[in-house]
Amino acid sequence: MPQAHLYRSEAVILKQMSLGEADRILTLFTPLYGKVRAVAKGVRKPTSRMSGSVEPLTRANMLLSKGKDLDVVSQAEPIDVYMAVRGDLEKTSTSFYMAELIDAFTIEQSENRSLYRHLVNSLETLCDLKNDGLGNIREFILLRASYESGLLNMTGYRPQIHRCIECGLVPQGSVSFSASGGGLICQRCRNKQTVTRPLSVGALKMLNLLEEGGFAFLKKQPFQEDISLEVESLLRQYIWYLLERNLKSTSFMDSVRRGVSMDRFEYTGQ
Amino acid sequence: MEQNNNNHLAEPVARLIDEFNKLPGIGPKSAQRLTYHLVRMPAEQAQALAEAILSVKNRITSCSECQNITEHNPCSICSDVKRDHTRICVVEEPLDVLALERTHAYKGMYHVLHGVISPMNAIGPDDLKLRELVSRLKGGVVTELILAINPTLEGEATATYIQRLFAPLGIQLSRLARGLPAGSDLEYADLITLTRAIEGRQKI
Repeated sequence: MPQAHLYRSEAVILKQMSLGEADRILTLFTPLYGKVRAVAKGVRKPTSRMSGSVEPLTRANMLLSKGKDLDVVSQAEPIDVYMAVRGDLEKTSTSFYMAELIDAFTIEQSENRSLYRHLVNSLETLCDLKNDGLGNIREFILLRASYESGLLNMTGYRPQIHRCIECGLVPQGSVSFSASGGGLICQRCRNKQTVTRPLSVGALKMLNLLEEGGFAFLKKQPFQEDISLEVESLLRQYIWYLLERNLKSTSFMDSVRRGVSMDRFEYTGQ
Repeated sequence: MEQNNNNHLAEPVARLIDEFNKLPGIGPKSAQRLTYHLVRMPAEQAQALAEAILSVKNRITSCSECQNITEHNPCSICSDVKRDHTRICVVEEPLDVLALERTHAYKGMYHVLHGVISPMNAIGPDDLKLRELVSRLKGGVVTELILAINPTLEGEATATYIQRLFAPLGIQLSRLARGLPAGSDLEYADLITLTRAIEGRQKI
């Protein structure tokens, strides 16, 4: 039998899927090999030594062996399990969203160390956010915006927000944003793009600041809530345009944000 | 492609291979092996198998109370007057009820969610049997809800969701303890389990 090709890598587990009797297929994100799909054998049994290290949203040191189709996890040692995320609905739903974005924007066998760093940093920041139930939505929105902006930047989809995407000039006066064109569009060129949305001065400023610095920098800026909501909806529309589909985790995130109440589970006469 | 290979097969054999092939975890080779095993099987045994498959589809329904899979509605657990009807244990899947029943340590009711919140697989709270649980709890008989959901990330999200959902009702909510499996070795325990085990340690 040929020698199994073993390799070592740090990884964040993005998602999992049950396979057969007791196995799971994991989708890992690694700094050197991009996305990797690997089988973790026997981890659904309670006595498995590995099960706690291969939970989704765990950062772990892994020893993997190359397989014909899927790689096989041979050992896993957790580095961080992001304990503060578990059991907190706002944080869990945001972390699912972060993982799904990475899954959607990356491909297998493609090195992206900065994106890996970005994911790990953002998960750590998410753990440290103070969640007092309702009052702290602002920081969650800012963290998600800075995460999305960084991810778009590192995967080559940074929107052009300094010049008009049609005429190339620095726009004067009111501007719009075109998801299909991937950036700003000035008033004169607006009818050249079909899908545009008006962009407020405050939101444009926030987009600029998102490019400048990360969450820690952003947190200190005095944004109005409607501005951050505008940017949130703009980035979401842009991502939707790029992926040509809705992300599944957004509906859960939004339903948690609207509040968990028994009213939505009442029978409505039927 | 497979169809071409099956050209020289008798039609009933090819058809059975095709049907087996649709089952989870069964590839073309296993499907062929199972089919030829059935061909050699005594007729009455094959008949029993066919009847068992049919009756699973024809005679099984879901219990209107606990949503478990059952032959009679309400199921034997829900209609048992000797059991404690003030307690409901919430589980993910029907098989979890069997596992808990094997312990003989619980004598209350169950509620089967048929899944957990899993945004990555597009399963949200509306896809679970939560509506039925809400109406059971609103009946006012139930005083305690035990969440016996798997300790995975999705399971924890579901448990937290349910906890927040029913907090206004003021009933007692509890979760299964998390700790070390029997016969395991402390040095191999993972971070999450060990942390929870220390948090949930018990006075002796």
